[in-house]
Amino acid sequence: MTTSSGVTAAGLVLCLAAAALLAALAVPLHESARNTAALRSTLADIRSWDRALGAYVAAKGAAPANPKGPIIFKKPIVEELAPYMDQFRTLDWWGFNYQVWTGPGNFEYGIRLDGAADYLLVSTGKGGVRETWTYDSGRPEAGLYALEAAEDYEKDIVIWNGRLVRGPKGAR
Amino acid sequence: MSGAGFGTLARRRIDGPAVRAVLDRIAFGPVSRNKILAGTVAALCLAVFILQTISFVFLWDTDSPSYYIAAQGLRRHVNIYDDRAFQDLSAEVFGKSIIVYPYIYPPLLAQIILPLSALPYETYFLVLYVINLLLTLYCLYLMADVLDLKRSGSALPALFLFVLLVANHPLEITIHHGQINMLVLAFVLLFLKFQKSGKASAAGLFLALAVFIKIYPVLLILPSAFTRKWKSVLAFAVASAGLGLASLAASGTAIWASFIRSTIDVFLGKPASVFIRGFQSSPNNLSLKGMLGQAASLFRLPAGLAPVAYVLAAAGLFLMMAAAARKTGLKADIPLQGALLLIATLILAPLTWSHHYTIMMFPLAYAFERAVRERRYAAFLPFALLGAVILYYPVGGGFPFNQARLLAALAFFAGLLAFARPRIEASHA
Repeated sequence: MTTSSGVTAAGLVLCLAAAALLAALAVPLHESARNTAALRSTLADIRSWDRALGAYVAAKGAAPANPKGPIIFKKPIVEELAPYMDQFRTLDWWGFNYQVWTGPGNFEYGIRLDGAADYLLVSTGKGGVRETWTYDSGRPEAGLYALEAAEDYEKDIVIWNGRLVRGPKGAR
Repeated sequence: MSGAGFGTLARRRIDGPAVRAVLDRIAFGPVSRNKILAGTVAALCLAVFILQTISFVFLWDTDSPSYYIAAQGLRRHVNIYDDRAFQDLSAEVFGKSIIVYPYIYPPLLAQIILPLSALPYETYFLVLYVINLLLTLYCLYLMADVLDLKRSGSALPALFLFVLLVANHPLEITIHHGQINMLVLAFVLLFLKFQKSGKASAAGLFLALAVFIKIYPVLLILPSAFTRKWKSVLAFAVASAGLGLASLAASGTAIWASFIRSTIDVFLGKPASVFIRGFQSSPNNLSLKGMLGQAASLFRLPAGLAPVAYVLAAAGLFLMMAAAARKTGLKADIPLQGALLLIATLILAPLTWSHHYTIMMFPLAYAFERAVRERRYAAFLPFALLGAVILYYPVGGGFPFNQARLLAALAFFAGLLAFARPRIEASHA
C-alpha cells in the first residue's frame, strides 16, 4: 500500500478559507495599529513644536509671529522656529496641517490668549476637522479623553502654553 | 457532478509536479505563445493606463510647475537654488496662491526644459504629459530588451510589463505630478542595454545623462569600478565632464556653485531652506535617511545616531552585494546589478517619495522573468507580495507604517540577492 502525501484540492480550499478568515481579522487590527502609530507620532511632533515654541519664548520673551491657524512653509513662524528644531513637519501624521495661534487677541476653543508669550498648538486629529469642544477652566482635566473607539482618533489635540488641555489621557 | 466524483476531485493531489505541470503549460504552452491573445491583453492594459492617467492633464500638481519655474529662472537669470528668489519668481508667474516645491535637481534638467518653458504652463504640461506617456512605453520596450524577453520561451514576462503599467500607483503619481522619473529610468535602461552589449561609450553617456538629471543613479557605475572595467568608468567620467562643461557654459558657474552647495547641505548638513528641511522630515520621505531621522526625533534618540546608522546600513547593502558577487553570477548579470542598484538608489537617496518607487518596475520584471525562465514559480511569491506593498501600500499611518514601502524595498533587495544564487539544474541554456 502506498501512502499519499501532499496537498489535496479540499486541503487547499480549507487553507484559503483560513487565510481569508485571518485576513478579515487582521485588516481591522492593522488599521487600528496604523491609527495608534499615527497618534503616537503626532503627539511626539506636537511636543517637538511645543518645545521649540517654549525655547523661542525663553530666548525672545515673546512668541513668534501669529500664523493664525495652519502652519505652512511660507509663514514666518517656520523660519523663526527652524533653529529650535532638528526635524519639523508642518503636517500631522494624518496629513493635516498643525495649527498655531500666538500672542494676544486670539480666542480659540474657549481659551483667550492674553500675553505676548502665549500660544496654542493644535492637531485636528484623524478627521482633519476641528472639534466644537471648548476648554472648561473649572475642570481643566475634562478635555482629556480615553482612546476607546475609532472615533476617538478624530478628536483634536490642543496644547496651551506647554500644557496638554485636549488629547488622550496619559499622553506625555 | 455526482457526490463520488466531487470527493475524488477533492482528494486529488494538486501540489508538486501536478501544479508545476499546469504552470509550465500556462507559461510555455500554446496559449502563452498566442500572439493575438497576448496582443489583446497588452492593448487592454495600454487602454486602461491611458484612461487612468488622462484626467491628470486637467489637474494642477506639484513637480512640473517647479521645473517650469526653474527653466523660467534660468531664462531670467534668477538663482533657482535660492528658496526665496525661487518662490518670488513663482509668485510672479503663477500668483501667490500657488505653492511650488523647491527645485533640487541639477541645472541640466532646467536647461532641457528651457525650450518648453516658452509655452504657456497648460500647454507645457500637456507636452510633458505626452512625453511621459511615450517614455513610459519606451521604458517597457527597453526593459524587454535588457531582460532579453525575445529569447524567452514565454510571453508572460512581456505581459507582466503591461500589467505593471496599470497596477502601479507610483507610476500614476509620476504622470500626475509631471515627474521626470521615466526619463531617468529610460537613460538607466539604455546604460544597462549598452553595458550588456559592451558599448562602453554609449553606456557612459546615458548614465551621465541620468546622473545629470537625478544624481543617485551614479551608484550604477560601482560594479564597473569594482570589476575594474576601466573603459566603462572612463567613458562615464568623460561624458560627465562633457555634460558638466556644456551645462556650465550655458548657465554660468554661479548657478552650479549654488546647486553644489545646496546638494551638500541636503546630504550632510542642515539645509538653509526650511522647505527642504521639511521635505527631509516628512512622513512621506520614504528613504533610509528619512526613516532614521523620523525614528530619532520620535523616540528622542541622540541626533548623531541617525547618520551613523545610515552609513552602517549603506555599507551593509554594499557588503551584501560584494559577498553575493563572490558566490553568484552577479558579476556577469548586468540586469541583476541594475535591479539591485536601482533599489539601492531608492534606499540611499536622502529624499525618496512614493513616486520614485516607479523604478521598482525593473527589479519586479527581472524577478518575474527569472522565475518563469528558471521555472521557480513559488520563488516569485515573496517578490509579488513585496511588490504589492511597494506599489500599493497606503502612504502615511504613523511611524513605522509610513515606511512600509521602504521596508519592503529593503526586503526585496535582500530577497533578490538570495534569488541570485545560480540554479544550474533549473536554468535553461
